Amino acid sequence: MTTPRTELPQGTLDLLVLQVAATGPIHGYGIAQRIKQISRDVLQVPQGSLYPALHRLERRGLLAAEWKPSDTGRDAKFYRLTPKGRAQLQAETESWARMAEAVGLILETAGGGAQ
Amino acid sequence: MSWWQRLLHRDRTEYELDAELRDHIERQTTDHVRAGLSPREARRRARLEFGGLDQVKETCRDARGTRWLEETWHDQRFAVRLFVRERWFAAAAVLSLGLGIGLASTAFTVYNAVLVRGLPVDDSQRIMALATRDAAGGEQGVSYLDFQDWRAAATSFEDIAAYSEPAMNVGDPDMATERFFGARVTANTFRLLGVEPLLGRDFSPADDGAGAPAVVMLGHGIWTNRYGADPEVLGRVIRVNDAPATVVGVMPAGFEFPQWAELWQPLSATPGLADQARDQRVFRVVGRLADRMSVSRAQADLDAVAAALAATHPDTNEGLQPWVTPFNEHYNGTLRPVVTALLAAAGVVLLVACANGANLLLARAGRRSREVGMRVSLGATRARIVRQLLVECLLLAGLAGALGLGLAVLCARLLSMGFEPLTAPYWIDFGLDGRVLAFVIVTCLSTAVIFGLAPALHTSKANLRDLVTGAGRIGTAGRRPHRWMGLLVTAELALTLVLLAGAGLMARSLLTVALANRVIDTADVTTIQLFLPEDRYPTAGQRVEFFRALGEQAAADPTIGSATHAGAIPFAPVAASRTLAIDGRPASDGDTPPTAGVITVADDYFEALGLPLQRGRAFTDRDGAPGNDNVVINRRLADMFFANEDPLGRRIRLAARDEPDEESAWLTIVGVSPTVRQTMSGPPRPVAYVPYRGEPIPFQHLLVRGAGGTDAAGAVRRIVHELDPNLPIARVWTLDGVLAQTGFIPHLIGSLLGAFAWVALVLSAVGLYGVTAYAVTRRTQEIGVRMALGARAGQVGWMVLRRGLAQLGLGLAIGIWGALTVGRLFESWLVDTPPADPATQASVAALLGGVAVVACLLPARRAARLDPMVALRHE
Repeated sequence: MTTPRTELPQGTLDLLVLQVAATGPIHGYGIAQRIKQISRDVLQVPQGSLYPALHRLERRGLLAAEWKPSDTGRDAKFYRLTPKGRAQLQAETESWARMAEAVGLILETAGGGAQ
Repeated sequence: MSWWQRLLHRDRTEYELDAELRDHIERQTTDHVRAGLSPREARRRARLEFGGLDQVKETCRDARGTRWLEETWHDQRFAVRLFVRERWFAAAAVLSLGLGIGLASTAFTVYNAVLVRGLPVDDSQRIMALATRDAAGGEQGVSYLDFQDWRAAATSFEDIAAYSEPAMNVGDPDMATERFFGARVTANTFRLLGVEPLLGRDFSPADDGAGAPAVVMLGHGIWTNRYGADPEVLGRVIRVNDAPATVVGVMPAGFEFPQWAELWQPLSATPGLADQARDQRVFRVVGRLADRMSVSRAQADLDAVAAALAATHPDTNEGLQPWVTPFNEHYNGTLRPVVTALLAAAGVVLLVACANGANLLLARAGRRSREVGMRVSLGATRARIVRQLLVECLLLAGLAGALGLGLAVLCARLLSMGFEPLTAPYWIDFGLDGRVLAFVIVTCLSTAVIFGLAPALHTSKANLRDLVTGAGRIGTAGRRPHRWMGLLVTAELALTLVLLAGAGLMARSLLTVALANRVIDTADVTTIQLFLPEDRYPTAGQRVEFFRALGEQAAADPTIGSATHAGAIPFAPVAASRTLAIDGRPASDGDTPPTAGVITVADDYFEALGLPLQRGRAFTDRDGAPGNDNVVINRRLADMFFANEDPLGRRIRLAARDEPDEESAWLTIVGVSPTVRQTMSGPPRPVAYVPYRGEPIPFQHLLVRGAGGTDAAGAVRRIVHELDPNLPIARVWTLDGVLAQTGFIPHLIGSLLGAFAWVALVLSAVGLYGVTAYAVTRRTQEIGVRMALGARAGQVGWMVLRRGLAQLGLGLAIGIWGALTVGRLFESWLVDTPPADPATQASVAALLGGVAVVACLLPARRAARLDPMVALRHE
């Protein structure tokens, strides 16, 4: 454990889940692993909120789920993005980018002043 | 538990949730094994990382959003199990609320039938009654000429139609002549209402012109009863009021427009219609409002039309105001205050029932608090607890609603069966409809909230500390529920007293009327209507002779005890009202002159009905002849106008409305009869009896008493038939039947109010008993301690009783104040009974007090007899 782990900021879990699911049908464990891998172990998905998030997104119609045979030989529940989910992902990605830019800007200027 | 058992025992969603989460843990375990951990350690680590499986599941269920429904379903099942276990509590609550809801629904059924439903035609709220008011504000009909002008000029109505309601004699060659309620209507009437004939055709404008061939439409009743539902009746010529008329149509069952008509003719069948003057306001008018037209705009429109008519015809139409009211309101509007009062009374009973239900729940709250504490300690939120308790209330209210609806259906059926015909227009129907059902449902829901919310909020306050410290025990439960219960019982007692007082006043009033009606022995008196047609009895002498012969034959018949006749029968309203002038007393200018009812009677009227005159003498065969213009007045008239003087020998003049006083003769008072009521509400009317000889009008009621209890109607029919075979006999009633009819509405109000009051009395007595008994249970330990310390049984009993008596005293005080306030509301239905009648108030207060004391005494006695040893150990 060389890299310090960071808690996910509020509200970003949904965005990450949608992004990961956009690559194709994937089960819950896969989503958790993928987020961990891509963020190079920085982001740890709390299991306690992953599944409620998946079920919430499914209920809102952003994700669709299907039980399919998986590599383990058992059926697993695979999630994929719906068209509605894709639109939502697009919107949220843009708004995230805007926010990150704005926050970065503030940190730079404000940080310079403090030093 | 194997997977299929799980599948069987849970629903699919639960199974999938479980499978998904387990799949996650399996994969994690596999990954850990690959990383080199032992399978055992790998599984342990995977589970640890995942966290509490059940907590995740809970959050997932929340996220799914179906949780609310699932939990409500669980609450329902729990509530059912609870009620099965606590069946006495449940039965008491359901019975109490069911009675309340049932009575409220019954009252609403009456309200709906009388004031809401209206005519059974399309868009009935757009059907209006159009009448006029003269300069003095008296209601008038509409003259034929005015009607025609209105119809041409009033644009706010789709159409307007005129009608009158004459009686019609129907004759056929091979059948006895019968007399029916008829109506003459303009040809557009049925089209305006949107009702089509069952058979044949509607009236056409050609039928309604002067000189058109006479036609008639039959009601469903006549068609079935008189013509055997024969479709061939169309085209047949029958005799209506001795003139031939062709049957052109049959109306569907249940259509008796305007009130109870059994057959219809065009308005043109009215004799002398073409010659009617503009101030002969003999017709009623009905109209259908045009689209998007309000009553007030229609009124304004008609006002303008009337103003124009007043300008062109000032001598007849000056000061005449048209008057637009919804049709149903026009006929049933007088019942509005009383029907509304009934609904309010039923609401009061419902409140009493709710208070009872709330008290039952509060009494249970003590016992429930431990269970609630347990739930709270397991993580239930307060909202969750309140919801569970409210679900229980909803279930109780639902059961009560089912009971109430059953009760309402039963009451509605009783009402329909007991309804006296001809006391209300034909469209009054006590059947259930969507509105009544909606009322029951809304009542149920709001009842559940009213009686359930306070106890639920209270119970849900129980907390973990109470549970742990054992504070949930009955003996030390907080004082708050008890205070609530005391308030509710006090309110119940007060409301009950108001109802009892109302019912008491009504009962007293009805009793007064019943006693007043005893002046005539109504048993075995039959009344029969006779109408001597003008074409065959044109002169006064012929009419007098007919009734003289009838009396002679009746006297000779052994089955007839006595037979007499009069223009109006006792207990029925008097049609003829005249202005009264008294000789030697100048008429005061400006004031509306006093009026009196006038009844023409046979010479032997008073003797035959057993009405001994209080002063003077009855009529002889010389009264009414020229030079002997004599009159008998009733006690009421004597009291009103001859309070301090002897009326005998004084002269009065009775002038028909609009008739110059000087044209009517002075009549000398020769006798004073007892007062016979002609209406069942308000004070009795002053009445003057004039001999038939003096005013031989064609229309008379025979009043026949059978000899030795026999039914005299048959003998009278035979005698009439012998005298004149073409004379129809109609409306054969017993005098008791007439009494039942005129007294029907007051009796209905009285009996419904009475039923409400009794139910409220029982409910509040049970409520007071329940609260006091609960107090005894709650304080059993305390009582044990007191007794162990030397309190005597009497002291303990008094301690319990005192509390109940305090509630009773407060309830009575508030109730009496309420009764005095409410009594004034239905003063107009009380006869010779002041709304603040002290005797009534005192007796209902005593009744309620007595019942309430008994309700408190029972638990007090139980407290006094407690064994201290048992009581101390009581938990």
